[in-house]
Amino acid sequence: MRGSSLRLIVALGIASTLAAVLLYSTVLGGAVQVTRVSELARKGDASTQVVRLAAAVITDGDDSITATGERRFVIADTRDHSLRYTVIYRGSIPDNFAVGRDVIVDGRLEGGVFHAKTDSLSTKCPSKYASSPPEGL
Amino acid sequence: MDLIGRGSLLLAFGLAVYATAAGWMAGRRRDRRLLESGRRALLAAFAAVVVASAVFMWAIQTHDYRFLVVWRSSSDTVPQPYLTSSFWTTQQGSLLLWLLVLTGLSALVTWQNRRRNHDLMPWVVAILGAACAFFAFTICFIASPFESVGAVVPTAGRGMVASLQNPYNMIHPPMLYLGYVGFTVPFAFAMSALLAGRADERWIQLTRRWTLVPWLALGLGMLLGAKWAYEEIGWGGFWGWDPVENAALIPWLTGTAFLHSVIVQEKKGMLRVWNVSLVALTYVLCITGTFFTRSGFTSSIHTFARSSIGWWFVAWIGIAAAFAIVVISRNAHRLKSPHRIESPVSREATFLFNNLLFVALAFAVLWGILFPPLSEAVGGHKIQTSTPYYNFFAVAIGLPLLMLMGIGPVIAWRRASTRGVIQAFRWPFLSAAAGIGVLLLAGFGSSVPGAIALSLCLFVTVSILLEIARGAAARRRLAPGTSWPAATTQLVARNRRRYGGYVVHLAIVIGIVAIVGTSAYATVRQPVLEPGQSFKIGGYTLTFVRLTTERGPNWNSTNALIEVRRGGKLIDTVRPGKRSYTDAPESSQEVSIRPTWTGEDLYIAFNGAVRGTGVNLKVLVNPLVNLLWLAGLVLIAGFGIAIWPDARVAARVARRTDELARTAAP
Repeated sequence: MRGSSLRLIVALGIASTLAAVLLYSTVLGGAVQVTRVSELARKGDASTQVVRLAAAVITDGDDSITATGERRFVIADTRDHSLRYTVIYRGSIPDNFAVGRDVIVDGRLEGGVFHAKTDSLSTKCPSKYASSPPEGL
Repeated sequence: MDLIGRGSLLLAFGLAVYATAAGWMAGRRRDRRLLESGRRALLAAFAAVVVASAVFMWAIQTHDYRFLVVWRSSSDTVPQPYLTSSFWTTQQGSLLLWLLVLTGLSALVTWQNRRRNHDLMPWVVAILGAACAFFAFTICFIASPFESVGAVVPTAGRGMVASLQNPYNMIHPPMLYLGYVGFTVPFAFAMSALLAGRADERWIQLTRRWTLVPWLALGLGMLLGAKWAYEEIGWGGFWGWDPVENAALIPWLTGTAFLHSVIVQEKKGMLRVWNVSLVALTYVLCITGTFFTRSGFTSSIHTFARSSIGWWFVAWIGIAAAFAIVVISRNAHRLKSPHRIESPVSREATFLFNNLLFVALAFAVLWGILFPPLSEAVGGHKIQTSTPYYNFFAVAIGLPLLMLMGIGPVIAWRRASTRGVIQAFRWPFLSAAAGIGVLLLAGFGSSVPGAIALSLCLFVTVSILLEIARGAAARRRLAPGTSWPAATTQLVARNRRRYGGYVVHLAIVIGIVAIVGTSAYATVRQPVLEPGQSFKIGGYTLTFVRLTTERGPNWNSTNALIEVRRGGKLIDTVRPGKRSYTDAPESSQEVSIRPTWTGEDLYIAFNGAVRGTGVNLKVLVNPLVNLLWLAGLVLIAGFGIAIWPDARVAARVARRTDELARTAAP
């Protein structure tokens, strides 16, 4: 194989990978936009798209699980806790899920309630919650 | 105590800086005394870090809450051995472990080479010293494990994160660090060879084991992390394309590419620029992965707290990358290969294609990590890549890679004839074709990529087994009367590297079968049950009996008592539950996993109690998942065969290395 042919194969391989990665991540739905509660609130029910919502947990809904396995908990904007939505969720609950924690959950807003996709709830790492030094120091 | 710890770290930093300077000057002046001095400085730096680590471990074991890190990550009630593992559950402690491994490996390398490779070692000492100096600097001045809690010493610690109190967390992080850190050695040797004016394959021969060990460690580290996630997180899977999981996968992919491409350089003297670039890229990606974990650059369930340390890592990544680019480009003329790939249908071309695919997959995964923060920086909105993105590339690039795994070891070097190709691949191809037919008939057509992957696994397996059988048959012809097992054993013993590699390939095939089984053919249900109620899944009938409670040394748990039946017969009683810890704010899942000899798991996670008496469960039947853990054992076996010392081969390599050393540039 001549050197130029080999270089052509390598170049084509690299170029097609770059193109596929960029296309898939930006156009073909391989990615989802992260939305804050305040942004969702601005759009209101006009937003029919599935979004990935980043929020803070206000109530964990531990005692709200229904006979169909649905849990209702309340989330708020991470910067403005007065902006809140009730979330209806079904599925795994991460170990770090608790009041005050930041979570990410996929779903859509319907009638002022956020209907989450099954098993889409995730929390941030526990070690992100490293404690501050003891009070009074 | 803290003075001893801090002092030892400062001493290690000073010694590493000195080793860098001494090594560099020794390389430029060809001064043996300076080299010896730099080498000893690295040994002393290791000793100093051992002292600092011992002080930190002592503080953990004695619950010395004067240290902020000890107070934050442990308590009097954290049981052993988890208390010991709190050494590396914090940013500061894990950096100290990193430095301990790095200085340890550096000391071992310099000690091993104390009487040889004098042309390369000054530069090796300088590069390893610089890497040690960087990490010692971050620990001394940015993230010290000996930071004081302040004037008032707390009487109790904050406890350990619940999900980290798991046996796999004892070994998963150290194994990953060994992998990340270990790639520093082949990087140092590759750059040193060029700085010493050498473009031959001697650095590859010298670092073969030093490359295999971190590669295995990184692979096993990921596997242990997968096992931890499977047992601890409670979602039923083991790989979530999390940025930090990906950060370990990326250098492992480029490292795997490197392990293959060096074979072409050793055999044919080709791909020299590619190999030094690939080993440099792997090292840079190891540091980049660490940057992702420690900087807050990405959101992940594994990352440490957001901190300013990230910028220092960016600086080090920039320095390492710029250094590698300058060294490689200045030696480009030396790296020109006298040979070219003659045909795209040859082993060397197959290895090249395999390398391109590995690097392409690494790039796709890397872009998946970089895209969200970049999209936020450029467009103001964070756009996250999700599982479909990664799955698309895993399938699109992974399937051709799998096919090449069956072709590469068998196809001829230089140029394969059509007849040779047909002869070598007719049985593997026919097996794969028959396999896909059987899979479709058996109902596995619900996932087309899954069925294709399984048939390709068959292709690779038959290809490897036939190659071993051909070799064993040849040995029997040479020594008539030798049994097949004896001939196979002799075959493997005579070429451990090659056949160890084949066993590693079989391990990868086993792992892929497990991944396909769980990702394409798992069954999931999330029922809500009241006491006495039953439901069926995958041939099992599960009956919820009642909620129970348990108490441990530092935890209380609520469990669901469940009877498992198959064919009407009670086969097990399980208790999935959720623990809340007395000394940690989080709860932790205690899933019930019931394995079977077919590799299938019945996996039951406790989602929560319902109205005081009922339970919400997540139940999966994960076919073939246990093959993944078996793959780890086979991987270790293959690695063991490949790396096992062989006096005959060692003598041949030593002869070759000496020949190359004698031809060193004046």
